[in-house]
Amino acid sequence: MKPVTLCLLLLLVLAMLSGLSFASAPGSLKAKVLDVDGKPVTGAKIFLYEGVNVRKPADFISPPSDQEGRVVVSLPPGKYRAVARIKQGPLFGPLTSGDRHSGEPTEVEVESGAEAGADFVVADIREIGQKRRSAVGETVRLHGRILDAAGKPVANAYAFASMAKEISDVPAFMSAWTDEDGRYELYLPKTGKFFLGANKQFPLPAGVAATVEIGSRPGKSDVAMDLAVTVY
Amino acid sequence: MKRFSGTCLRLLMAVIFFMVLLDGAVDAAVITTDTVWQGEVKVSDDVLVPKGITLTIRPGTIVKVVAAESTKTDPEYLSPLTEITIRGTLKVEGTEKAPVVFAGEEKKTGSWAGIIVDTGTAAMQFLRISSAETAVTLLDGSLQMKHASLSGNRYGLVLQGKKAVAALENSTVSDNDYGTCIFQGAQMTTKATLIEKNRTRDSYTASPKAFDPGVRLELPQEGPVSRRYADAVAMGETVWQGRIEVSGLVRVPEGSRLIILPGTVIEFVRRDTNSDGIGENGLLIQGRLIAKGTREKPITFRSAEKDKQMGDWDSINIMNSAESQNLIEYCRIQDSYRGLHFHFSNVVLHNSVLSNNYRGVQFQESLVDMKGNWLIDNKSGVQGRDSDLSFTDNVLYNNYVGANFFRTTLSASGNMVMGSWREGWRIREGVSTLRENLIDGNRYGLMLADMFYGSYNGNSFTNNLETGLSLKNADNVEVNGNVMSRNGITGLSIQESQAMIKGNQITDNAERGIGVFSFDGIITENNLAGNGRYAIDMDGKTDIAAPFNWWGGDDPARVVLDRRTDPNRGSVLADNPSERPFSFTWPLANLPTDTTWRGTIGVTRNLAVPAGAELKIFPGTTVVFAPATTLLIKGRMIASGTPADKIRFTSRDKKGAEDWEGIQLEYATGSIVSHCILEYAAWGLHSHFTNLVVTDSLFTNNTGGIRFRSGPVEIRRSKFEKNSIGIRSYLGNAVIRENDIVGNETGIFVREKGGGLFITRNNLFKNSNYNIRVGDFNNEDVPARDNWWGTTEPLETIFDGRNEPGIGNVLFEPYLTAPVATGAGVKL
Repeated sequence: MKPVTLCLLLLLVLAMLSGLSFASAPGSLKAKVLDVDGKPVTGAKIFLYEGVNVRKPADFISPPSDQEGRVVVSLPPGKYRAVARIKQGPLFGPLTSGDRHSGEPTEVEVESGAEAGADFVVADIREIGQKRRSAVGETVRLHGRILDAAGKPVANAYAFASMAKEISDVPAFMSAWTDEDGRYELYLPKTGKFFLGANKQFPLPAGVAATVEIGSRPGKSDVAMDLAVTVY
Repeated sequence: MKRFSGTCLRLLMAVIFFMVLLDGAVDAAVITTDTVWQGEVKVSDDVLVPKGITLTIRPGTIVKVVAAESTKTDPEYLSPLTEITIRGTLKVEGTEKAPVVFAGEEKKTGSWAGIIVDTGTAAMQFLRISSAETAVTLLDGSLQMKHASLSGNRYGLVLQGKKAVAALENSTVSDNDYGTCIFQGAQMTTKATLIEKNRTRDSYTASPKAFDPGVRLELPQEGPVSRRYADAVAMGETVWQGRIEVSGLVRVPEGSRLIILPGTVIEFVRRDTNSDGIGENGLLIQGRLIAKGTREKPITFRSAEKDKQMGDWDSINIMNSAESQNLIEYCRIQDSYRGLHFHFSNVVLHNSVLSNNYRGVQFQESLVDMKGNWLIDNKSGVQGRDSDLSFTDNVLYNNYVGANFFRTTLSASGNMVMGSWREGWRIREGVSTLRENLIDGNRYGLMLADMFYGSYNGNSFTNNLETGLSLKNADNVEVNGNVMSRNGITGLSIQESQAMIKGNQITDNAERGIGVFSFDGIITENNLAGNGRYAIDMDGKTDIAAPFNWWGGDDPARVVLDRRTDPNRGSVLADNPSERPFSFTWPLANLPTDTTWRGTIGVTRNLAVPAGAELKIFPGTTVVFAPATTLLIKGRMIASGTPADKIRFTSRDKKGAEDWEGIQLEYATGSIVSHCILEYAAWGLHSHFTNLVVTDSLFTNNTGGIRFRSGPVEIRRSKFEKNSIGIRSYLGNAVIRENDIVGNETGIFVREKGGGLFITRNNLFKNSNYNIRVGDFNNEDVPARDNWWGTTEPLETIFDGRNEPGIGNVLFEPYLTAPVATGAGVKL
């Protein structure tokens, strides 16, 4: 074999061994990290894993996200599983209170010389817990305590709501029986006027009237309201 | 024509006969007629043989089961893996030359569920079963097995339930992970059978302690049927009261409401048109359901049959009802297929009893509030997916599987999940927060899998027959402040997970505190003590970090199984072991099952040990009480220290008497307090109607050392000093012997009926008011002979009828002239 050919061959072999290829310029991942309210998160990092197992040190870690929640990281071409994390404590190790995470890994494919995009939403488990009680459909959640005239919580009572001031024996909307804390929870349509009350008898006795009136509640999904009403 | 008809008939019969003689693929779920398998049979879906049906498998049949783990398990099935479930009869007729073979198509251990004989009967001979999760499970049924080989499974044979009876003859159970497991009082006899060479254990027997779930709901009032419904549509507002009989499907369309008043009984006639063993009548709510019972007048949904069976009726189905809450309160739902079943709905289920159903509750894509319910004796207590669930103060007891949640946002607290025959609780994916739950006496406690978030703090995983808590494929999970104790094999099992395992009490598990396959995280500030074989058993190859734990006073190298012993394992990096136990705040308000305390236990609220439960406190334990807290024992307390390792009950603040209330015993018969120190309480021990033994203990700096009513009480070799009152008796029956009662204000106070006391050979002296004072209501003489009073004039240290006529005298003569060597004198 001619020396030139041999050199070229050798170069090719060396290039393959070193992972270099004329077609293997790095690509990049451009990501945006937001919180559960849709606001950009500063200081989050994207952790990228080449394999399926994300419970090990990451293969690549991005710089922290900026004030717009944006982050760009250069990567060799390939498929990755990516998660976003923002940690108060050490870089590695499990999340602690206040840390946030984007949940299930996102699959990202980075091509040579190209920019891939992905968005991540990071959340604290406590934020998710607070969002748990979001209204189903077009309803607002009314909650609070049923109190007697002395301001003490009433057990074994229930809150009710009606669209008419005169209440039928089985009002249109009712809460469950309260416990010792007097706590109730009532889901109502967001629009419309309602008359509220509380009672210990079911069905209601004749002549029960509501004593609290509430109007439409557009834009609200959660309303806290103690019902300080006289229990019959 | 006749001949032709006869031929046709014979042909038809032959066709029918061969239709049920299967040789090929089995896709059908429920076998509804007697069936024969032969040749090569491929099972690609669950198979159920209901009661009254027989499945016969001919010699030489090869049954290949396709692996198919599903997230959906219908209530009549018991495993997420492909299963062959027998509620009728199974006959396996292999021969020596032509055995029957059951195997997973994948030939991988645990690739299919196995044969589950659920109250059915199985007679099997000359067979081989492999690659199953459990080759044969017997649940309260009957099994005869001859010339069987169970190998290459996770479990060979599992028997559960008092009615489970198995007879094995000329069989082998080997080369499985576990050979045979016998739970809940099942029985097995063997003849010429080998159970050996199984990898983890050959045999294991365990039973949970019986538990009273404490259902508090009145029984229904029986009355005549007031209305009958066949298939019907209930438009508008329909109100039910009295006794309703449903022999069809009652539908409540959108915009309509079904209102059920307190005390109503709704009974469903059994209708099973497809002979699958499942009733079809029920309710379909597309509008809204208000079933608002009360504790005194609950609403009952049940079978109308005289001999009520599980699955006699279908369900209360609620579909697309999200406008406002559907209320199911103070209801009994029983004998159904799926008691309460809903999709896309807003449902409140409070204070209800769901029992004897295939599944108590099933839901998806819903907003759910379950509180204060009892889910008892169901195949599956509750199963839900893709929902938001608040799950509080429920009792799940004696279900096959307690709770199963998939991809659900779950907030769970104050629940008791107990006595499940398989998993007490399964959670997969989703976001879950579990706090102050008791998971006890299940076969497996809590199984968490595929979690990307999770907070599991302040729970108790105790007395489960195999594993307390299992983490598999879990990420960003915190496991803090939990009790993982007294589990049959392993307290905490970790596989492919990343977590913070911190501040837990992991003690007294029969084999391992923590079993690790693969873990990336940190195990720290835990108390690991008294575990049978190992505190940590490192089964995987990579190292794990376990710094700054308390190892029960042991050298971690001695209680850890890792690379030090086996070079194929990873290392447990147990840096900076703590010399003392970490203070562990007890997380639950009740201790309703047998509990063990070691190390330093913080009591920050009143705790109660109810009747039937035992609290055992190990030598050397310190129990630290926050202000105004009480430990109430209605079961039994065994606090037996040793001379070298006393048990100390003390206050957090150590300011003085009445820092904490004390230990109260009520009918706590059999309780023992020995080699203990009780200090800074209002009353160290306050005992009523308890057969109590107190020995070798010190009561100091309390308002009172011991007060008791009735008994019998025995107080010996103990020291009472620096209390306002050392011992107080009210209608007491006690032996008070060989104690030092010294330096109190009053040594012994006898309030009333002192005749039942026997006070002898004590050193009673230097009590600033009186050594013995008799109270105004006492009218009996108090026997107190042969004590040493520290003076030659004992009467000067006694207040009795001689001071106040009519209140009885202390019979102090003869008295000792030198102190007694009591063996008390316990030092602080």
